[in-house]
Amino acid sequence: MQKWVCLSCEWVYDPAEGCPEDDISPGTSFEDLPDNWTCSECGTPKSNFSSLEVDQVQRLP
Amino acid sequence: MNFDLKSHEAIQDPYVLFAKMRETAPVHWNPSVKAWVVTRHMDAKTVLTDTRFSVEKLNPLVDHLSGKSKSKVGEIARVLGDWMVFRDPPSHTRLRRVLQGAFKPRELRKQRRMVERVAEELLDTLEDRGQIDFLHDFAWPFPAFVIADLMGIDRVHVPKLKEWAVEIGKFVLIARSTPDKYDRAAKAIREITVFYQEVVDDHRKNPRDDLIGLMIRGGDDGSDVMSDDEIVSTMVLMLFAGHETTTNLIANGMLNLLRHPRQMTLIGQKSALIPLAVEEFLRYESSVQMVARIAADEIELGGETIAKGDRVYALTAAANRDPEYFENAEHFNITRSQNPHYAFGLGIHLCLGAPLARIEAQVAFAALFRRFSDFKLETDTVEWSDEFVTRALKALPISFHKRR
Repeated sequence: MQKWVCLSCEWVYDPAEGCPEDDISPGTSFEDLPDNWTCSECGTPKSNFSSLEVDQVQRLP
Repeated sequence: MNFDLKSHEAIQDPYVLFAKMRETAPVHWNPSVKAWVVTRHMDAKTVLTDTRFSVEKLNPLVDHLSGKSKSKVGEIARVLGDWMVFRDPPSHTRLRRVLQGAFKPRELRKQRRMVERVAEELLDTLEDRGQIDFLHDFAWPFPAFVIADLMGIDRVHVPKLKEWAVEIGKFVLIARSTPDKYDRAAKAIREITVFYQEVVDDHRKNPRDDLIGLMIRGGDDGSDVMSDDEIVSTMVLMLFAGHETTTNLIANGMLNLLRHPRQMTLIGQKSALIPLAVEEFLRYESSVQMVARIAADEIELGGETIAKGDRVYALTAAANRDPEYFENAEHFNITRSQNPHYAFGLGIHLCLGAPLARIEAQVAFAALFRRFSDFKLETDTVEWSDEFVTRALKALPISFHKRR
């Protein structure tokens, strides 16, 4: 499934892992996250994420 | 080309200068601030994330000075040197880890009710006045009370803490026209250290579940032991970083809504836009305008060679208006959804308090628009403070009507 990157802090949401900190189960696609969900690291809104291509994932630190 | 970042014009409106620098000399040695100045988004990212740009800049500053200035700055550096923002790994990692969990969005959501209560209490005191200095009457006390409550410090001490923070700020934020800033900051550091040590001693005698208690315990699992000096220093940092920057975020946000009436109408009609609007406040008129680093090695950046030991200023407020990264970058647009601004920095020093600042600003504007309407700017000219690091108004007189 498509990964998404936070444009504010570059934290990556990986649907395969979900986000246990926010009670988001593994397998939850980004589109299915609640509209008021925010970045787990910096709190920026969901709309401030961008879909991430595989090569971009590899280039991130 | 000479770009004078200390001129009155640059203080009042830096963005024209920022655009010229981005276009003609995106990385350059700037004699007015004696540092390399970096203005493009991509280069700012390098400065923020490349570990060769060190944050341990206080000791080089002390070494560079002489005479009385050297001893004064040395005194300041002994306390501020324990701030995690002035530490590289591994000590940065240890200090940050203690507080990291408490500042996660998940944990802060539990504090949202408290933040809302503080906002409502303050607005209760203002609602019948109709005309206020928004900066001093609301934007200043609101985050100050929130951080005091989180730290477990009685609000009665907040005015004195503010005085000290202002004095320390003259040094940390690089006041451009305060010749005795070292003396004033050193005196404030001495006094605030004594005050905070007493608070820590009291917490040791009477343990509490607040941020000071968390530091005394050494984090959630007790594995990151902090010395009293480090705890006191971190308290100074939390008050400082967790307060004035949020004051400016809220005040600058209000100013820009007042200057853009259609955006003001839009946000007043649709409160769901508030989280996006806060991101635009952060980008368009960033509270923190730059980050400072020291080159720990010789570094090539933007076609220039930065020598080891040189100071480097990444002007994040200039990067936040880089047209290569933002559509209509000079336009204030609260519906902007893709907003990769660097208002909170990036990398390992990304502002720890970013989630708190976002919640505070969102809560503040939600409460303001729910209770009041017809906001108007009650001055023809706004004055900005002379601090280089922050974008801070001196006052923001406004009027409003109470909703029925």
